[in-house]
Amino acid sequence: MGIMRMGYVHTRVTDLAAARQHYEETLGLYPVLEEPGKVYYKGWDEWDHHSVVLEEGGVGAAKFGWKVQRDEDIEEIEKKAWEFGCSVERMSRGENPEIGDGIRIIAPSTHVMEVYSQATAVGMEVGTHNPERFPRHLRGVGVPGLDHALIATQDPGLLERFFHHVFDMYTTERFASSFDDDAKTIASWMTTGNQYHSIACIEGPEGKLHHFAFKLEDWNAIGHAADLFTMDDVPIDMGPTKHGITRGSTVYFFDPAGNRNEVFAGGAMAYPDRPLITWTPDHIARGIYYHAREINDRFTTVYT
Amino acid sequence: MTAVRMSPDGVPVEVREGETILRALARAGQAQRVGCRRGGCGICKVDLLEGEVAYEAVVAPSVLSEEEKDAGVCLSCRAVPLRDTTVALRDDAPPAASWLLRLREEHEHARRRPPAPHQHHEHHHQQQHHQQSSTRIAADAGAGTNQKGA
Repeated sequence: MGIMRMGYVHTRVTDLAAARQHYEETLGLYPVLEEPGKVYYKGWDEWDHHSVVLEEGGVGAAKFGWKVQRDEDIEEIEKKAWEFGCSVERMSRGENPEIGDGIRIIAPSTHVMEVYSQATAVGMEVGTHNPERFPRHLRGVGVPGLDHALIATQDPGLLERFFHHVFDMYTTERFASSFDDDAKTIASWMTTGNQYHSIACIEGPEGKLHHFAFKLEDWNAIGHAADLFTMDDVPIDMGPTKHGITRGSTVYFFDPAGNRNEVFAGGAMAYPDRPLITWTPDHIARGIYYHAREINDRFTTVYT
Repeated sequence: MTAVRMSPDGVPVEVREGETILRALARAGQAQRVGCRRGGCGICKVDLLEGEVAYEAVVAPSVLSEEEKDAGVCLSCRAVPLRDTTVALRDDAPPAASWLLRLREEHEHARRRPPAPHQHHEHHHQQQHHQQSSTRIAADAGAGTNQKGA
């Protein structure tokens, strides 16, 4: 099936100790490996070695990892990336700890996308033999795993075509300048499987990160997470609220380096033949924040 | 007591031990534009007119460069006043407002655009869309109306 999911986000943080407190104690990710200036994490319901990498120095996302189902998918994607005119290089096993051979693509937005098929299997925290529903001693929010990311680009239409052509993704929802066939794409939510979106892009400063999100079970879990953010003095950007786009529930908040995180629950099911949903500028505020129906300045100005 | 003042009209606000400019002003109810509040986005930058600040937390050079610091730009969510300090809000317009405004203008422009003369089929198609989008705008103007009612 080619791309299965966004496998990891490798993000920069200004202060690793402060970031560790946030990602371990508040979000409850499991540290799996430490290197000088770097920590690797997984969520309790993830099986591959890591899904989040923190690297000390700077802010923003250094790169994104995409896991494909078969080794031969890598070559196929490499070919399509060349066709699209992207810069592509091979990456070797171990360049990223516990991640196999793959390719590194510079997307038209300058974001770095790594594609791989092999990762060391660590296993879910509840195991696979007659498992419990969740680990008894979760920390903080206890996020099960990574869900998606929203990245910024000056040309969302071009980046959308990149994800369609190179990653064989399809768009579930689009924010366009109008309903006309020649309308400009302002933002796009895309996926490969039935997850409603694994990547989204929005018009904004080239190469920047808007947020990356962790999945939660439901609306109650979203509210509980927000309580914990208050207890831990985590700045909440917006929420708990719901999105019109994706129909997900959300809290946007910031890590100690100012990178925006999200906890996201629900959302519709995606199918390639599901009719595309389009939003226009006159209704976009309701699409993003379904209850407030107002976009605050932060949504379109705060990037790392 | 160390105080911070927002130029030109602000009254001096007491800065508690280790407190940032942003936190001291916010505690006194003086609102300003804020972003991540964690030093990552640079939205809360102010100009330092008087005084001296220190950064206890690490600030990424991509967010606040040495040149900016030298020019008196100060990241208010991270800057801790060392003595009485006066800052000025920057007058750059919030990009969000201009972004949405531009998109809305583009949208309005697209709605008003006359159809291309030889594309009769598409003309009809576009008109349907226009009517649909007008209905939606009107529906939203009436509180509580189901926009799908048409």
